[in-house]
Amino acid sequence: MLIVLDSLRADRIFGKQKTTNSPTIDSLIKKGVYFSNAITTSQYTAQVMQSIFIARFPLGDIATKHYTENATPSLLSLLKSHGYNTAAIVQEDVFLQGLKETFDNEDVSYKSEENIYNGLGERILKKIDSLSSPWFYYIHPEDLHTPCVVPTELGHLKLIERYDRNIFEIDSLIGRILEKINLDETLIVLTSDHGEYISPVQGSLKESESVKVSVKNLIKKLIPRTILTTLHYKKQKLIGKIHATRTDKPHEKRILAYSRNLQDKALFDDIIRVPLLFAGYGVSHISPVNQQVSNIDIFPTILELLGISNTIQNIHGRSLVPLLKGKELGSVPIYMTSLAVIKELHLTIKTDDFSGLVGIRTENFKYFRSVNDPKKNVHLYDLRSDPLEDKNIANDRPDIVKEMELSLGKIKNDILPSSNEEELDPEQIKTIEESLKKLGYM
Amino acid sequence: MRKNLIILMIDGGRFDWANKSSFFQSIKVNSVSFSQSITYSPHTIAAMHAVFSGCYGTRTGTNSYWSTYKFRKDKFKTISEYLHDLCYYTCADIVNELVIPKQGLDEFLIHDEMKDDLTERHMNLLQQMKSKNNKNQNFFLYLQYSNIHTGIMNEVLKVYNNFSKEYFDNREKNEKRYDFLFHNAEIYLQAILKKIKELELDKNSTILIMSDHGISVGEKIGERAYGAFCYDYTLRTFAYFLLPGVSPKEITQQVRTIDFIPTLLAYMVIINVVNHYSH
Repeated sequence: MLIVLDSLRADRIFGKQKTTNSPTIDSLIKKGVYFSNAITTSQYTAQVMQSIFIARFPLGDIATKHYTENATPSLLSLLKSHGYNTAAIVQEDVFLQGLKETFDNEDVSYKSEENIYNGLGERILKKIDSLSSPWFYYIHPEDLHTPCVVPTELGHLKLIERYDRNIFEIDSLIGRILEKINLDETLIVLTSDHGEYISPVQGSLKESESVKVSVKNLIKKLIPRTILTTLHYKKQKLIGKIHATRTDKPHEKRILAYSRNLQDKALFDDIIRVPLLFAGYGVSHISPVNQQVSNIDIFPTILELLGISNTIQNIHGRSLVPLLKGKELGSVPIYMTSLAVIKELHLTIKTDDFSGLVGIRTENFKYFRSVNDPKKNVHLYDLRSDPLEDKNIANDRPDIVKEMELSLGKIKNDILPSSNEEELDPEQIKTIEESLKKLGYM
Repeated sequence: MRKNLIILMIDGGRFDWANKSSFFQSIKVNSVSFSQSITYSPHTIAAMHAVFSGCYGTRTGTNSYWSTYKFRKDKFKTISEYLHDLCYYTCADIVNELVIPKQGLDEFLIHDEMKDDLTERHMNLLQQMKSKNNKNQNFFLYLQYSNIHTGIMNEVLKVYNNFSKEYFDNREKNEKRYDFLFHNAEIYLQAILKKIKELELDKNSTILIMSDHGISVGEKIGERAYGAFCYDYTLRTFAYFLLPGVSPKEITQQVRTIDFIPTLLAYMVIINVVNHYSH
């Protein structure tokens, strides 16, 4: 069972900064293995989820179609070929934005209005009853996605309060899921697609909802989407700047000022650090693993735990089973980008208006810069001495920037062979045949 | 002036035969040798495209006997191109046009393995390179010794199939055949190295002596020569780097033949290819 809690920050459920009441997740952490340094690849849900399913970094750009259009088969196909019945309950927008996976159930998507308060939780639970073993079940609640919708009577809560409240509600839902399944026979993987900047000063749901209902729909009809998107981001930046005057600390400014959707702000740990938990079938409890891992490691790990040989090549993800068993697994750099490289996202997000970023994160350093120009918007943070990413040391440590750039280049260039390679022409086939005959091979 | 690069490629040279050869031992004590260098593919086309590009054929497109024309020359830069860009004169003499990438080669020579005297031919090429070098022209020379292949082609490939009882029942005969062919390769190599020394090219050239893959002498039914299986008798190759200024050393750690070109480029202080498409 793959549980993806959209927009869940890693620090909310584990560690010193844990603020929420989440007893079910706590109990799973005590039974399973929690990865406290898990990293996602992007801030876009569909792009991240596609990366998880194909166990590849979101490389390439939309122009060259290196990402999903020529991608290797999904690792989900291996589960299917081994007799697994697949089901999912995922918000329809995730499919509209480019997630290409197909599942056996017809009621796979839910509408954006649906949430755990008005029936989504029951729907998720009910689906379990109809699953026939062996099954793979992927659920993706969006209740932590801003604006963090809550019942009307709780609409007065601030964003940060709604966020924590909904974590508690989802935790309760997971508790009810656990009552329906046998953990000895079921592997549970819990993660999120990305984090979020949850501003403590952002107001009640009533305020934002009233604007949304009364004004936004009318504006949407009158103004072209591209202009609207640009205006939206400009507005977000302006509001952010005003809020950010409240503090001098960069990491606090980010929380106050930034939005995940701002491409030039999306690769800080607030967004790319995610929770990752394995519990149940095949997993014995060990202390949380601090080594950096990626969420594209999820499927290779699932396959190994289920005893399914991974026959799909050209993946970046690695099985984390050695770490689950307390053994060593060398750490590798993790690629991340704030650029939309899925075609469907490209159509809805005007990428050339904003400064897309690309970078890598290692155990010790975070490095990112403009996608188009390695000299622009260069950031380097020493995560050992500066885990909150307050001091950009790019100018002080050109040696490390160079090293990171080389490492990034190696991953970036790891493109897939084109799936629609040109066929050989008859003359070429004739030449090869003659050569192979002459060499004694035919 | 930069160093020249000479690659002497003994097609079908087995590591274990080299390891027990007194002649190869004499090369080993004067070189940096790799006793566990693993080729990408047990046949020349895919193996040498991988070496030239520093990248596996799964990426470059050349991953079989049939995929020379699928080499993605727009994406993968070869050693010949790197050196050609630096004004090296680049020359290769090979058994067939399919076996290495053409890109970046000034001279792309094909020899007739049935007729040509490779020793004489290659000594002439060395002489020509020396003339260029005397005019301050750096060069890259790639020489394929193909006569082990020639012998195997005539006496094994054309005579037996991968399941011929007669072949697999006569291991001793197979080994003797290979002994003879390998010994001829030693004689060739001895003459070429002597010529290199005579021309004093050993003083200003980086020299790599390597094999692309090994050849079966009947170990496994189903593979009378190579290209069918992935056992060490075809995948484990020999590699001796004669590097002016570097002390002789045997490196026993497993390495990949696709590491050779990035290593040479770095050693020759030409470029660190880590940021390109290399593996």
